[in-house]
Amino acid sequence: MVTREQESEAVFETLNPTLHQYFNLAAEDTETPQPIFDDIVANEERYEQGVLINQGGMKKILKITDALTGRPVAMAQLHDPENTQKVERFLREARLTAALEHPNIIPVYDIGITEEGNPFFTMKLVGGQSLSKILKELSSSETKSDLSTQDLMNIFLKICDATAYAHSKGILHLDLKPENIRVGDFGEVLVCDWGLAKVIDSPDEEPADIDLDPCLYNDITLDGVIKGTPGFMAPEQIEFKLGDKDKRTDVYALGGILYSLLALRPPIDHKDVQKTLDETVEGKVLPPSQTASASREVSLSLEAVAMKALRLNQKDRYQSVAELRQEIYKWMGGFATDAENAGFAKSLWLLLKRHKAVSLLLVIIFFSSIFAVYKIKENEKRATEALALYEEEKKQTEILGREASPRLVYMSKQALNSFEYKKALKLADRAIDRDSKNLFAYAMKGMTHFYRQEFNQALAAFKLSGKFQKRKPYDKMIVIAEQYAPLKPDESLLRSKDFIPILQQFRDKPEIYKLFRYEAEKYTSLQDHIDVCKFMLKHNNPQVKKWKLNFTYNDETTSLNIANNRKMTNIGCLRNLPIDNLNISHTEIWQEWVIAEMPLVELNIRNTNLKSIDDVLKIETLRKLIVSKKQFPNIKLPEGSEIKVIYK
Amino acid sequence: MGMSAEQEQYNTRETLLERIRNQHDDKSWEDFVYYYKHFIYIICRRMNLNHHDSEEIVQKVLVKVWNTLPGFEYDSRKRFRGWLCQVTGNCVKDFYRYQKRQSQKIEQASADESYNPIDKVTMPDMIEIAEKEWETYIANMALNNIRGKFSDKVIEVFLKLSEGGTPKTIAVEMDIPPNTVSVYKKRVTAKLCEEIRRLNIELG
Repeated sequence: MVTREQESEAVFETLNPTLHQYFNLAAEDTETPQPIFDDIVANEERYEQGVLINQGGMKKILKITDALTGRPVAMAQLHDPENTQKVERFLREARLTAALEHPNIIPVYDIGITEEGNPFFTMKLVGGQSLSKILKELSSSETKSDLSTQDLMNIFLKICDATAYAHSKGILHLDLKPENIRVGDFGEVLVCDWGLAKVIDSPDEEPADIDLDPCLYNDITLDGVIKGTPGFMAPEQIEFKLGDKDKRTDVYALGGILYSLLALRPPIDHKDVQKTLDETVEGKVLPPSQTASASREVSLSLEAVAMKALRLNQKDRYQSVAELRQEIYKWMGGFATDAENAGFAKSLWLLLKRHKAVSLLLVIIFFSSIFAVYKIKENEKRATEALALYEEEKKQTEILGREASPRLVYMSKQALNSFEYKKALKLADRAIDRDSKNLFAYAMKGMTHFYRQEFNQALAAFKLSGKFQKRKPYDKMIVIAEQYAPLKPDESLLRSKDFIPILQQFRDKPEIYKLFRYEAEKYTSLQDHIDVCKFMLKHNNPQVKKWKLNFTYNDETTSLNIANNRKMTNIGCLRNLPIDNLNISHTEIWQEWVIAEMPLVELNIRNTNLKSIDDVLKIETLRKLIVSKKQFPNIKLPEGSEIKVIYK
Repeated sequence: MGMSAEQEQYNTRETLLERIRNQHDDKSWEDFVYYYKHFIYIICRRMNLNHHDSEEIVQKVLVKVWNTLPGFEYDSRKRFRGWLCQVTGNCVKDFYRYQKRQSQKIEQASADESYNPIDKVTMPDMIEIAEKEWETYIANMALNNIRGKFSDKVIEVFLKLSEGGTPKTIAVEMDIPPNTVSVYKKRVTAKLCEEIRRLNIELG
C-alpha cells in the first residue's frame, strides 16, 4: 500500500509496470455506466399506460409515469378528442393553468398531443383528498374530528391566496368549490380545475407577465350556457342581468366554500337544481348556524364573513379576495393566542349577544322605516338597504374582536382557580379591552381585586359589571368591599383582626381559600399571618372539637405545638410558614409536603399518619427528628446528614 | 490513504493543481508533495540517478515548484507535467554538472561513465518517458486505492491476469472456476479504470 509515510524508494521498487495497460484502457473506456442518460435517450414514449383515477364531464385524469422525470404524474385527457371545440377549450385550460405559478395552484408540467393526435396535459399528482370529501367525512363522523375550525381556516386562507394570485394575473376561476380543492397529506392545498377560468381585460398588476389574449381565451366559454356548480356559483353566473362576472364572482364562491367549512354543507343545497338556481338568484342563503347540524358550533364572526361574501349584489360583497382574506386573518389573530376550549361562558355570551344584535337591528329598521315613510319610494328602499349594510358591517368588525372576550373571561376564571391572581387580572383586563360591554369580564376583574384585598378597584369593577351585582357571591363581596375600602389603600393588606371577620363570612366556601392564599403569599406581618393561620387551621379541621394549640414565636424561633389534636388531618394552610420547631405528634396528619417546605430545625412526628419522610429528611436545617420506632423502623439518612433521629 | 482529502477534492470539484495555485496553502501543498514526490523520484531513478541523489533532486524540484506554481499559467495537464519534467531535467543536469566539477576538483576525472544520465537523453525523450511513468504510477496508485474494496484473493487473481496469466491456468492455480476469474477481472478492471480516470483528472 502507498502511504503518506512510505519512502519513494519503496514505491519505485514495487511499481508494477504491467498495470500500465489499464491506464490506456481507462482512457479509452469513456463509456461510464449512464443508466439515466441511456434511459432518457432510449425513451421514445414519454408516457406509458396510465390508471384512471378520476373523471368529470369533459375529461378524465390518469395516473401515469413520466419516463423522463421518472415520477408519477396526473394526466388529463379528453373523453371526446374528436370535438375540435372541446380540444381547444381543453388546451386553453392547460395553458391558463400553466401560466399560474403559485404554491396553491396545481402545477402543469407538460402539454402535448399524442401520436394519435389526442391532446393531453400533465400535472402534479397530489395525494390526499378533495376538500369536499374531507367535509363529507367531517359531517358524517359522530366523534369530534381532528380538524378544528382553525385548521379549516388555514386551508381556506390558502385557497384565498391562490385566488388572489390568479386575480392579480387577470384570471378568474369561476368554478371554485370544495370538489376542486385538493388537500394533500403534507399540508398542500391546491386549487384545481381551471376549466371555466376566464381572462379579464384589466388585471391589477403585471398584465404583461402572462400573455393571454382575452379574446382568444374567453370566446369558448361565451356560448350562453350556464357554467359553474349550482350551490357555489354566484347569482351573476346564472342571471347575467345581475352583473358581469368579475373578481367578486370568485369572492362569492369563496364565501360558499367558507360556508361549507362552517356548516359542512353548501350554502344552497337542494336536490332540485332549478330550485337551487332560483334561490341563488333570489339570494336566499340561510346563515350556517341555522343549517349546520345542532352539534356543530359555528363561529358567529366567521358566519358573518361568509354571509357578506355570499351577498346577492356584487357591491355588497367583499370587493376583493384580499378583503375577505383580511377578515379571516383577523379572526385567526384573535384566537391564535387564546385557549382552544370554549366553555359555557362563551355559549352564554354568544346567546346574549345574538339577541342584543337582533333587537338593535329591529330598532334601527323600525326607525328607518318611519323615516322612510316621508320619503319617496325609491329612497325608502335605498335607505333601508344602506342601513342594513351599515349594521352588517359594524356588527362584523365588532364581533371579530368581541368573540374572544368570553374566552378570556373563562381563562381568567381558570387562573383564579389555580390561585394565579396576577394572570387572572391580566386576562380579565384583556377581556374588557376586547369587549368593553362584557359584564362578566368586569365581574371577574372585581372578584380578583377583591381576593387581592384591593377593595377600591374591586368596587369600581363591580360597578361596571351592572346586573351581575344581583348575583351571589358578588353582592356579598360588594358589601364587604364597601365596608373595607375606606380602611386602607389598595396596596396594603388588612390586619388580621379585620381580615379574619371577612374569612368568617365565607366559611366553607371556595372564596375563603382564594382570600387566604393571597394573604399567605403577600403577608408582611408574621404575627398577623399566624393569627390568620390559626383561624384557617381550625376552619380546615372542624372535626377537632377541643383544640390544643400552642404557637410561640419571638425573634429567634417560631415554634408550633399542635400535638394531641387527635383528629386533626389538614395542615395545608401552614404552608410557607417559617416554623423551626414543629410538634405534630399524636395527630392524623399525612401531608408530608407541607412539612418538607418548612425551615425546620426540630420536628416531632410520633404517631402521625405520615406515610413517608423521604422529603422531610432532605430539609437542610433539620437537626432533631423525633419519630416512633413502630412507624419508621429503618430510617436511612442521606449522606452527610446532620439529623439526629430520636426514637420514642 | 488520505480519504478525507480525496473527498474534499470531490466536493470542491477543484483539482489539486488548481487548489495549489489558488490557495497556495499548507494543506494543498502537503497533498501535492504526497502525490508528486514519488513521481519525481521515479523519473530520477529512470534517469539512472541513485537513491540518495534522487531524493536530493526531489527536494530541489519541490522547492522550485512551490515557488513557481502560484503564478503558473497552464491550460493543459500535459503541459504541467511537461514543465515538471523540464524542471526535474534541469535539476538533474545542474546536479550532474556540479558532480562533474566536484569530481574534477578532487581529481576523480574518471568518474563512472554510466553515471551520466542526462547527456544521453534528450528533453523530448525524457518527457515521453515521464509521461509513461506517470501513467504507470497512476495505475499503481489506483490499484492501491481500490484494494480495500476487494478481497486479497480477487486482487491476486487480477494481478496474475495483468501479468499475462490465462484465466484457465489461474483458475487451476487458485482453485476457482474460470468463470469466476473473468468475473473478478471485469469487476476489478471497471473499478480500476474508474479510479485511474478520477486520479488523472484530480492530479493531472
